[in-house]
Amino acid sequence: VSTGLAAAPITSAWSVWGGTAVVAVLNRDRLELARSAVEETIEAFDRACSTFRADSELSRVNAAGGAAVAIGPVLRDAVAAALRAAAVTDGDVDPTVGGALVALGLDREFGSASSPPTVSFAVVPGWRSVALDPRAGTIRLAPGVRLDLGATAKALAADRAAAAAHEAAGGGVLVGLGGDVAVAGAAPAGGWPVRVTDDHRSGLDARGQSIAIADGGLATSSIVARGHHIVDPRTGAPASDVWRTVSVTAASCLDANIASTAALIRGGAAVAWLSSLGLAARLVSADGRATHVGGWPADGEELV
Amino acid sequence: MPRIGDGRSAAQLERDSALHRIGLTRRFAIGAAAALTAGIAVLVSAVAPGRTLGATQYSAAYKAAYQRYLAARASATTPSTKMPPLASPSSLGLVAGAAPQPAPTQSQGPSASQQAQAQAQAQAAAAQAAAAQAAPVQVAAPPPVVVSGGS
Repeated sequence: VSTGLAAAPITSAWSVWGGTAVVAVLNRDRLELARSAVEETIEAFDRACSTFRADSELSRVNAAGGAAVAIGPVLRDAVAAALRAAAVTDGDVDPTVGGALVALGLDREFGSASSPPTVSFAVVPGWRSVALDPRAGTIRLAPGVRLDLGATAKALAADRAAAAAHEAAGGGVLVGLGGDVAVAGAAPAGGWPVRVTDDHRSGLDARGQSIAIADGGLATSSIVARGHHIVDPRTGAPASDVWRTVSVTAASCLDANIASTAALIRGGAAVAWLSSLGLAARLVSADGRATHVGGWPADGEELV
Repeated sequence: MPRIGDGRSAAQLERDSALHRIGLTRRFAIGAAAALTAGIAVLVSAVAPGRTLGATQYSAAYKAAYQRYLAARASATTPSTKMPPLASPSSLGLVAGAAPQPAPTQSQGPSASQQAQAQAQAQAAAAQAAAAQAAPVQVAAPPPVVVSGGS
């Protein structure tokens, strides 16, 4: 007999990519299976897409000096996702910002910098300089171009990890990777409760808003968490600071991440853009006021 | 044999003169042929401009054979020229999902201690106790399982 009360999700959390990974299931017996599937997905993306390890596929591509490089399916899909992100945002989310991130000293994993970097600016070559051949499984960058897939690969990994955990463990699964959240399978009654804040490392009681999602994905981009690390591809400099934090829900975590990142870069024009796409979003201005669009609930909002 | 002037014989002079005339004739023939060819080309281009051999009327048999050749060549190259499948709608733009909901709140009847308290209150004020039992009690919402924030 249903009591009408939601079953309490069982969670497991650990550190990854300088942040926190979380997997939640509704049946305790399935937690280990789900976590193993998530860890395998994370490791596969780390081997393929990390710019923080010299032996990753992406590091090999960035060092190829203009030559075509054979790549595996994970990096192929991640690059394809990044190029699609650039296309649908008119270049606001551009994977060729790698050089600009290096120039700005933002190419190091959070917490690993031992001294303040020397900041300079670099021209972003543009995503059209990337030649990806999905059928041949090769990629070629123009000499000097460096890819950084951080804006989209983590969200894609969350989507893939949730799907893998759901397939491995069955039942409803939620996966959070550094603030990017994806769900798969049946959600608990009332949805998966999620706290939306400026920094995913903050506690569950940090100022923000509690909401619930039942499917798809949720992503939050912020200039608060580790400084202003969002680069405007058109200038090679940090993006505008109209919004300090933007959260978006979409059919996938990847699409949510693309939209939230692009919204930070678009500044004041982001509200109309998100509304035109029918995306539910929460935008927090630099002075701490929240704006809700596209059906994002106002209930429980602590920033007004 | 009689010698003339520079020591060549009359026969030799006659031979050299004949060879000279042959050379002149050959050069004249080549020049005339080139001029004639150019003249004919100018004449044809003026009389029938735009006409080419490709506009020649071929026989029906030749046309049929040529069509068979084109069909065979097209079928042979189909695999390498096949267009990729159409992109799915989700690959063309950002896809909205269901909007998030407010965080779930749980409401339930009074707990055992609350019932006892209500019963005590009922002894003092029956009407107030009945009202207290009828009203749901708001308890804490389920805690979030994850934080979505910047990274």
